[in-house]
Amino acid sequence: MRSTQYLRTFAILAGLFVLGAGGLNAVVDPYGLYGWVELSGFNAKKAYAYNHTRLAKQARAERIRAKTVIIGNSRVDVGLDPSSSAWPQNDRPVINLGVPGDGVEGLAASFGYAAHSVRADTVFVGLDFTDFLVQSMGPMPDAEPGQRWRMVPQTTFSTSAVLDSIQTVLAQSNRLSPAMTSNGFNLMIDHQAIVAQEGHFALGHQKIAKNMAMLAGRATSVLIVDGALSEPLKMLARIMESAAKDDVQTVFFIYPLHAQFLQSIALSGRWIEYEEWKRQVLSLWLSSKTTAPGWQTALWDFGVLTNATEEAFPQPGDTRTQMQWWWEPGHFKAALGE
Amino acid sequence: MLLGGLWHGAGWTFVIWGGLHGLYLMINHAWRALKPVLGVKTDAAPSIVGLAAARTLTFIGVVVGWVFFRATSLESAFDVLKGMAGLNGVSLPSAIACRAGDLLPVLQTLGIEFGAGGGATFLKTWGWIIALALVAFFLPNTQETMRRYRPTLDHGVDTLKRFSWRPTPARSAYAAVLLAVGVLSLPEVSVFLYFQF
Repeated sequence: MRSTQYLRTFAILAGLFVLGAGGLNAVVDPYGLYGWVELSGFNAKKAYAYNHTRLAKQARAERIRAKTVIIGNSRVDVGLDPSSSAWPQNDRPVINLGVPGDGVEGLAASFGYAAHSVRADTVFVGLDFTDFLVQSMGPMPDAEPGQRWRMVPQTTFSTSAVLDSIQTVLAQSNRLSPAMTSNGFNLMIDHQAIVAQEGHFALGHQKIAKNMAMLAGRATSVLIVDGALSEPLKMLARIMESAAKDDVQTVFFIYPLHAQFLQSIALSGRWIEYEEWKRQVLSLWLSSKTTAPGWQTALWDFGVLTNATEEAFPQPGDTRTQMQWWWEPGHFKAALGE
Repeated sequence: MLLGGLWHGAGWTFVIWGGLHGLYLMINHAWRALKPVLGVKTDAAPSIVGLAAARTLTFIGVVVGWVFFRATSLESAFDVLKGMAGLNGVSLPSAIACRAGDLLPVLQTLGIEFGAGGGATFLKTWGWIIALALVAFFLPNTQETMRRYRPTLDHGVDTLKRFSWRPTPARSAYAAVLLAVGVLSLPEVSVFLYFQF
């Protein structure tokens, strides 16, 4: 083979491979960004959508033209089912925009997106005490709709997208693979498999150890710094002010936590701080409500002891008992969400 | 080699990394000098056992060196080395224990503990390590691949002839795949190790 032939073949094939990879990713659509092709047994189940969670959920929100948006972290992602019959007909379609790992900066980005891009009628905002135990905020994630097009190199022309496409097709026949529904809910299929294999106790035990380490590692007494609100509280205040000013019907809610999680907060010496945080949230909310009396809003506190939050965990090794309300102490099931 | 270590960063971990490589070179030169004295043939091709032993020793030496190169402090480097040597015990994800079946009592007898951690991540990590180790140990390097074109002055390696490069359609397609993978990897987030220096 002559070198010119070699180079020509090489250049043509390389171009075809790159374009072919992009075409494959656009058709298989492992994150559900395009929605051009959706075939059962081929790509309908999006097992890898969580590799680009925010983009994947935003694409779904626009596709279903959501009227109600739920924002928060993983507790929203796995605990509030937008398809639940509990949602009033007038509020549907509902999108779950919960992004695992999101802090208050992520919440602010999601709220801006829900209020101004989706123009949702109602926004539900999940509030997590642990997100407020930080001294400085991370950069606010880009939640503008244009971000989806700026991310095309990563989501469509990348090796990880090719691998995710291949694995998406392979995962269709695997009933235990995880999946994001068309309205952004995490069915926790992979957790169901873990519970069946190891039981709820193993999951809970692992989570409690992580919670204790996390609570011990977070900054102390950071809600009020030098007489001023901490950065996360200031950001929450901005979310509330923005919602009130733009008259976005908004429901803020403090997450339910299992009694074991609440006990972790107490054991780590933070119970007073937890109550102080709730008072600060209430104060900010009342302040925003006062400035806009017509603002439709509510603040709900589920972070209390109830029959549901005190549900007993099965014994170690018990892989048969299914908890009614909880996956583990930090994450409630959709049944409790309802 | 101490200076070579310092060139990479101002810290004892880099000095030790350089020093270890100096030590390895000294051992190599001492071994070459000792071979005739010990009656080991110097011109004969090494046996498979000898080759495996030499490669294993070199690999372990280099991996130990990299721990110092990558660690942020001497303390953390020694912690990692202790873990690598098994001084902290051996632990597997409990998800593996659930699927170990009859092997579980054997693993427990060996003193292996089971704790929290992702079974899938564990398998994926080790899958990659094994696959890439096979590439590193058994496939030719760039010098060997391009041996027909005299890539170096010392190009006498005459192994794995069938992997030697020549312009063929199959080679062209293979190179095109590599270029495509390279282009498609550009958007991936990858923190360049040297950014920390």
